[in-house]
Amino acid sequence: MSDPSTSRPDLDDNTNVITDATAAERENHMFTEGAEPISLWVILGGALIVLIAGGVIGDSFFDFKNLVRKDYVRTSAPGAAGAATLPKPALDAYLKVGAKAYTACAGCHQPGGEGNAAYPPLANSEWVTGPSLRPALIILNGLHEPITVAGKSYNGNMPSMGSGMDAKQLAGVLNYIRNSFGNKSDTLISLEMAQNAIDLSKERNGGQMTVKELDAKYKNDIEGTALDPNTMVDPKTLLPVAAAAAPEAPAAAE
Amino acid sequence: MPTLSHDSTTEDTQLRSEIDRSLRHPVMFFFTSGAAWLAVSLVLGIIASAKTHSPGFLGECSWFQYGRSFPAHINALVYGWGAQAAFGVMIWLMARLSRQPSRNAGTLLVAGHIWNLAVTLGVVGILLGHGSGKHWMEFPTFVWPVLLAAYACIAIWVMISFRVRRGDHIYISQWYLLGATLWFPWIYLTANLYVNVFDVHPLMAAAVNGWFRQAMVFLFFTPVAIASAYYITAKITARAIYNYAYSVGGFWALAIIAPWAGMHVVMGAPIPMFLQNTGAAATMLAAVPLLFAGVNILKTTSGHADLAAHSPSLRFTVAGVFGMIALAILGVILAHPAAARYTQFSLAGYGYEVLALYGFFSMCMFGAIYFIVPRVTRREWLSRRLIRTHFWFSVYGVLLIVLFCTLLGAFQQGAAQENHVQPWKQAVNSTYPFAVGTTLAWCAILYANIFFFLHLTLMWLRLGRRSSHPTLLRRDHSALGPHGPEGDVDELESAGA
Repeated sequence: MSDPSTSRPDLDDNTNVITDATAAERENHMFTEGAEPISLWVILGGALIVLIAGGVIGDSFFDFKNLVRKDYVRTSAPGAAGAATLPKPALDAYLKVGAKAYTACAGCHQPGGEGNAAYPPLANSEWVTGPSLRPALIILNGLHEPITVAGKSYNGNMPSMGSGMDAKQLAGVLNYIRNSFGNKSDTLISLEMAQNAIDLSKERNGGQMTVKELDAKYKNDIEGTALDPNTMVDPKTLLPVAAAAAPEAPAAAE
Repeated sequence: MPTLSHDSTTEDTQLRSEIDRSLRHPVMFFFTSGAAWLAVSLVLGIIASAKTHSPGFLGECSWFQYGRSFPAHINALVYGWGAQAAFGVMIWLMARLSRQPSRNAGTLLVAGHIWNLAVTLGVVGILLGHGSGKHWMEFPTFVWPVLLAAYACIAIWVMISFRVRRGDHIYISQWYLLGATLWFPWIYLTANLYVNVFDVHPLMAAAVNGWFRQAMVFLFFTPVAIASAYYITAKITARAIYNYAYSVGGFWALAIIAPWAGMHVVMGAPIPMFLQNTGAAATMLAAVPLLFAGVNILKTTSGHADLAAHSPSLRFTVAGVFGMIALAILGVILAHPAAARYTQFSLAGYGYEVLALYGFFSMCMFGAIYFIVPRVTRREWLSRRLIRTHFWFSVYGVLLIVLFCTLLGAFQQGAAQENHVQPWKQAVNSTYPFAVGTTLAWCAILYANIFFFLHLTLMWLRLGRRSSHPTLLRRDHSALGPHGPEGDVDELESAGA
């Protein structure tokens, strides 16, 4: 595109410009100095912003010494005495409760769950890793008459451990024995399930369990919703923390 | 300068077209390479955003890990697109308002190439892992003196064309352009010296970096965008600025308030409290000049809804001015210490930056580009549909990003972080849906801007329509319309001959 004013000097400028620079040709003139009134509301809005901003500066404008805004930096989490209330994955929280309760069992079943000549092992025991209702009822009511564990017969007499045991402890100890000594279960016994087992045990009206009764009536899992081992729970109450329902952390399954 | 006639005389038209012609190459170079950088930045932005919710995206390729793709994205947006669009508008608008053609297109063009080379080196440097890790200053440190030198070669001609202006009247856009021209080297040099050169306490360097970002928004991008908006609205509506005195007052208010803003980004850090509080208060106070400028511009266009519907320039500009008002209000909310408690370490800062850079500044620049390009190329835009696509995908895209990042995501993330008994990962997880939404919104904006880039490239190649009619967004031309009967320039020419 050559410049028309230089290459075709004899041509009428008007024609040239209009046919080539049409956009510039149709432009409006600028009018600048308007003086129409700005609405009172805009001025009030501006004043409000100035007020708020003034409040933010406060008396700190000439305060060159203080470094930290008052109450802006917390020293510790509100109301918490440290890490005790930080949520934990359910597995850790339950195992901690269960390990404490298991000290009562360790005398016979041994700290490593291996048992001895008189007392059956918990490690690799189908009674522990199998349907969860049977070990729950054995713990709550005790057991007598012979029992075969891992291919070996035992004839001991286990007293009831259930007196004063609440759902938290039962769930803790069940999860502990089902997830320790080499045992592993995919889901955890929840507090709800432990409470159901305690209720069921109460309906029985006492007496030690026998293998016959267990196999006949209770060879199934405890009713209720199991807990995912990764669910975040409060370590004190063992209840899931509400906000734990994050997108990729699947809520308690089954 | 003001006359009582809307119609231009032949002399006016000649002068205008002379100015347009003198700046054709640098202006088109800045706009087109800027649009290319915008597309690059958007691709990187999509990658970075996808990495926040799907870290496995693009596998192990170290070039595109979040720590590299995100700074590359934001720096390409600021220096590749933002600065170059601003340069194009600055040199053209200053020349037009000073009524003097440029005699130095060559220098501008060379400086523009150096600027592009430096930005390329910077972005590739970041992707290779040599980023400096300082937000908005991530280019490897050898880049900033080059950028500053290239800037000087460009800006000096803005100053010169102001110096040789015809007539005594200084229009409000010229004030803003002068401000931006002088403020950019001040903030860019100061920030780089304090962050990269002097032995400053790292904490103070972080505060200076926060000041730099806010100053770039308030003292460079904002004045250029406001200058463009004041020009486009007055030009297209053929109306006087609603209240000229307020527009001048708004300029000086911005000039006085904005330099204080920014250091509140490190609120709570052990730097003197007056710096934090003043930074927050100034960011909030800057809303006043922005609000007044916004109202002033919108009032100028009021009663011309048909023009905003028809004219791509005016429509983009009005959308950008709404973006400016949103930016002002969000600034008041986000900078307030009560909200900063939730938003300081969340997505909010990013949403604010996107609103400033895209929702406000870029929309105003698009408006200016749709106005300027037909004049300097003497061709009309090819397709109203492409412009419409660009507009709507941009508007909805940026609206969603701001909504997701600044409001929903930020406060949800912030509240989750405030919950001290939750592991921090929960706070990250809570933003998952918003991060996905942000990625999708960036995709929409990329879609809009790929077509914008192609459209602009075709115009640069002078493949635009030769017509006496502008490309308007609605097809209701008539022979009685303001532009007369539609006609192909060649036909008109031969008919007149």
